[in-house]
Amino acid sequence: MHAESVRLMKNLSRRTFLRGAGLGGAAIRIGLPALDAMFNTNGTAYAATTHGADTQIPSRFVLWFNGNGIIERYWIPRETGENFNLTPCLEPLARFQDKVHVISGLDSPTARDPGPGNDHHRSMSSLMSGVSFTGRGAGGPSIDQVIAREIGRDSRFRSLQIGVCQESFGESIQRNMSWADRDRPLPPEMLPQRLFDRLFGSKEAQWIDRKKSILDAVRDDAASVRGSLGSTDQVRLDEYLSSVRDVEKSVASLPPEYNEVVERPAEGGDLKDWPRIAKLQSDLLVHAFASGQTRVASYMLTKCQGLSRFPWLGHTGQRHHEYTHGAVETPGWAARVARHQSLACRGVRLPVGEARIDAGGRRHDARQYVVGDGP
Amino acid sequence: MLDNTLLVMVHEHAEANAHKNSGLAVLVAGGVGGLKKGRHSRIPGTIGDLYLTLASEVMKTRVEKFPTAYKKLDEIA
Repeated sequence: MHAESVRLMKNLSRRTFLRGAGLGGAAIRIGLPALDAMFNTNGTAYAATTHGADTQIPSRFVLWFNGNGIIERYWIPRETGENFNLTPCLEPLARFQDKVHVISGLDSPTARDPGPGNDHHRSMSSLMSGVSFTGRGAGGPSIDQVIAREIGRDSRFRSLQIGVCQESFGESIQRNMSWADRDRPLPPEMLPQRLFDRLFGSKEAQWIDRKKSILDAVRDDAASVRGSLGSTDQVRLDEYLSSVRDVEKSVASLPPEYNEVVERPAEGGDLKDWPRIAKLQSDLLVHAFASGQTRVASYMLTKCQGLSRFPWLGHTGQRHHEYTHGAVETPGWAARVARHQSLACRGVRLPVGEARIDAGGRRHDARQYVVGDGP
Repeated sequence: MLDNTLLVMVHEHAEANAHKNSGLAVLVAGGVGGLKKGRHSRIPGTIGDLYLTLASEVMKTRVEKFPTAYKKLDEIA
């Protein structure tokens, strides 16, 4: 390889963005996945760019929430230790069993403190913050925010709050899982279009012409960066940008009602195919991580005390709350719902070129998913 | 990506019918730090103990306390 090319490769900052202009001159910027050109010669850390030492490959934290509770006999394994059999509700994780630690038996003692609210309110506050419900919100910062204070400062977003299932019912403590502090909710972004806009541009609405690709706007910048990369990195960059295009197309093709905030839908009006939204939100979270825009996220699949239904399973009678509350029709039904929810939250297979260091200190690509059984 | 990510999955209740908030079931996944994996553990501790252990021993942050956290969980890391 040409010496000049090698030199350039080793100088690419992990904070590089491809830049361009959207409608009205609004800034578009696309973060880059981890590329060889960002790593030191051993591949063990991001190379120092302008000053300072090499930087560790960053770890990330995701707090993932699903409302209500579980049916313990279909969820908690009978055996403890390494040789346990997956229960029906955990079956979708079979391929990842060696990467998961199933924990049971944990207490949440402050959920039983006397005070305002119902059991769901009190349990939610205690679960997220360790502190009892105030009557308005969580009694303190949630664990994702405690961690974000430590590791989120250097990121574009200190943390991201992502939600999926909009519902008509619920107060602040039921609609929010992330709390900056006592009674200070950080509402989840429920709309894929808005999340996309935050990740790739600015918060202002309508800055993207959805009939065009944001890749068009950064074409010159992309060509320039690409020219400085080695061939492996060029392939990674191409794959990454085409995955950005895929998620952009998925967002743009959502029916209009999927991009509206549902404040107070009529009874039954919140029957959406929300797994479609879950898949998109998961994909966008993977992109946010892959391009280094944040290290901390919360992901709220359904609301606390969630009342959503599951019409895409051919079953609209029971709401989530009821089927976890004694109205389980058959073991098969509970497992089917659990399996579907799990699959709905799978991450996308994304060529992030993420580094993994083996025992000999060599770096490997780990083309893996955030969670679940990828497509 | 999972190798550099710690994912914690929670619900507000254990057995929902009873609105149970003891005996919570949690999934912890990923490859960060010294997280023990590929097993099921029944742990006599609190959700705060779990969070503190994950924040300090797995994520290696400087977090030293969390409400309801009384001990580090050797079962986790």
